[in-house]
Amino acid sequence: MTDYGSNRRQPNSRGVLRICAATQSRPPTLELSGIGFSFGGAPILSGVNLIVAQGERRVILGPNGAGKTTLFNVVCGDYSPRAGSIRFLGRDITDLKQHMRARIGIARTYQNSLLFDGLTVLDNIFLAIRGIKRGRFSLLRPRANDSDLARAREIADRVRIRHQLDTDVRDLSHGQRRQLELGMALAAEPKLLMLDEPAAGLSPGDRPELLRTLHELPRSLTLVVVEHDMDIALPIADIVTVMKDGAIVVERTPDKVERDPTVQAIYLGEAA
Amino acid sequence: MSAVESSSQKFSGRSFALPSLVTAALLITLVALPAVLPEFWTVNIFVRAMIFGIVALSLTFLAHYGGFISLVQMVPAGVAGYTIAVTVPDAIPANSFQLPYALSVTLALAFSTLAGLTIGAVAVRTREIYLLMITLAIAVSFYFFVQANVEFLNGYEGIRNVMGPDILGAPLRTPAIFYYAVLAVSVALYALVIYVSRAPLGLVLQGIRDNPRRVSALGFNAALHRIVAFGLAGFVAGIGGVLLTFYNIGISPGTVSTHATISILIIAVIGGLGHPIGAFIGAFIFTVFDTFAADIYDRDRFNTLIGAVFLTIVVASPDGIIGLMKRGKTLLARDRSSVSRSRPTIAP
Repeated sequence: MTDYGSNRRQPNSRGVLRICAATQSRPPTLELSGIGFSFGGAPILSGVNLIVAQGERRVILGPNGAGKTTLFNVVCGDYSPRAGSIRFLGRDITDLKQHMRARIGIARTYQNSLLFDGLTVLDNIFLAIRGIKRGRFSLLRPRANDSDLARAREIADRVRIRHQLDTDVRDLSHGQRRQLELGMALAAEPKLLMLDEPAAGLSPGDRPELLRTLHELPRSLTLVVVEHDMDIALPIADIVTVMKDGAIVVERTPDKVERDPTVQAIYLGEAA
Repeated sequence: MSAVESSSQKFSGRSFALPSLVTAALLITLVALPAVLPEFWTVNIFVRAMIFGIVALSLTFLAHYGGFISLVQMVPAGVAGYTIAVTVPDAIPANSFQLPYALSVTLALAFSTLAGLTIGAVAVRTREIYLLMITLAIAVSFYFFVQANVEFLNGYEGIRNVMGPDILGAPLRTPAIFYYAVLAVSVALYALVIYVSRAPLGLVLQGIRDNPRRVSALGFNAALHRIVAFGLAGFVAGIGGVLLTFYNIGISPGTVSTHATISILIIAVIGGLGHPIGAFIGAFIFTVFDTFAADIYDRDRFNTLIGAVFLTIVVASPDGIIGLMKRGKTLLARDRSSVSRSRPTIAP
């Protein structure tokens, strides 16, 4: 059951109405139609329809096994959907390879940080910048004044790990790994940023920092976030999508989602 | 020094280059060797070790930076060697190509690079044990191919009398010239591998080694990078193959046999797969054992001897001789610090 259309007409303090007005003239950043995916014979996603407007902040909630991360993997090209289509800024990318999706502006983070442990923080961010540019096969070492290196340092500043530039990634703390994970996704100058549980495993002290970083992201960036922590999820969300058993069951504005009986049933049990 | 300057100097990656003092001392020693050692040592031990070291370096490059342990590196070396042998004028049996050495060497390296790229493309979807198996299969196939091809490659007899070009007016086979030429090429290739490891291509390879999925998610075509890495390794191995053909004054299927293929892996593992210099150290140990097996125990027991060394290294230090040296250094440092801690101090 989705009622995205009715929600779009209900403005909230975070500008959903503005997004909807913009949607009429511009293609949505992400448009999923009837996405289905299964591992072996077991269906993981079935008939997922999702429209995320340009500049929108979308949070996806759902219990473990709801298919949230699989949905991310399908959108980013880790997996090919068994059914349905994916459109990005109006372009059909269903059959586009994973690295090409990154080059056209889709970046993501992972639930368990996937970093290059044998390289330094600077190297990791540099690679994230170079991944969408020319010179990916270069045999020439970048000069000290290379613009990509300068940008890598800026990114490190933005995610507050500037002091760790020369540290091997394997020596970073969990919180620093999460910051680097976010920095690498931002480094690719994405149009669509997908964050898979950015607060997972963070200490209470690290969470306000993460929230601050997310609030500082430019409004032109479309954000899709999977997050369990409501204190992180709701303040950044324009619209909250709730998934269960591989399907979207509710789409609401953040102020209404907590009171939604279906959501309460999912999180607190059927008797709630 | 500011953080920016500091980080720019350290950029990028872990090259595993030797410290500059050690490098300088090693280079001076190697340059001075012909003055203090007899020709037997410089040519039969050091030149041979450096040539095998170059081929093993191509494996170390793939294994350490990309995580690809390949058993195929004697194939691009063999492709280069056979290309030289069938195109130079003085080879026996004579051939109809008759190219000058400069062109022949260029062609040989182009073909070895192409062989590397092709092998990389064939093996692009395999990792670990499957990569080992597919590369071993290619190596064995190549051996049987060159043995069976009589028309161009002269079958199991191979091609001989490949004397090598003249360098600065003197024949390459002049011991001192051969030694310094091979030394210069070895140093250049070692430097190339270290340099590339810090360039974007090298960093991406290390990224593929650590996390191939993330590499693709960042916009890199991981498969294409793998293929290019095999091409570069083919180029390096090809140079080893050219030098090996000059060293042996020809080439025969034995040069690219399964035994030779396994020997390259043994060399790289003994030296340490995690360190480019390990290829040369392993090759030196291998060559010394190969040469002096008869004096140590029995000529026919070389495989037993090198096998025992190999097993000892693998059990004692999976990171080869370099790993042993590093561990020794760490233990020494620990001992020193514990001695200084236990020393009585006088209270102020």
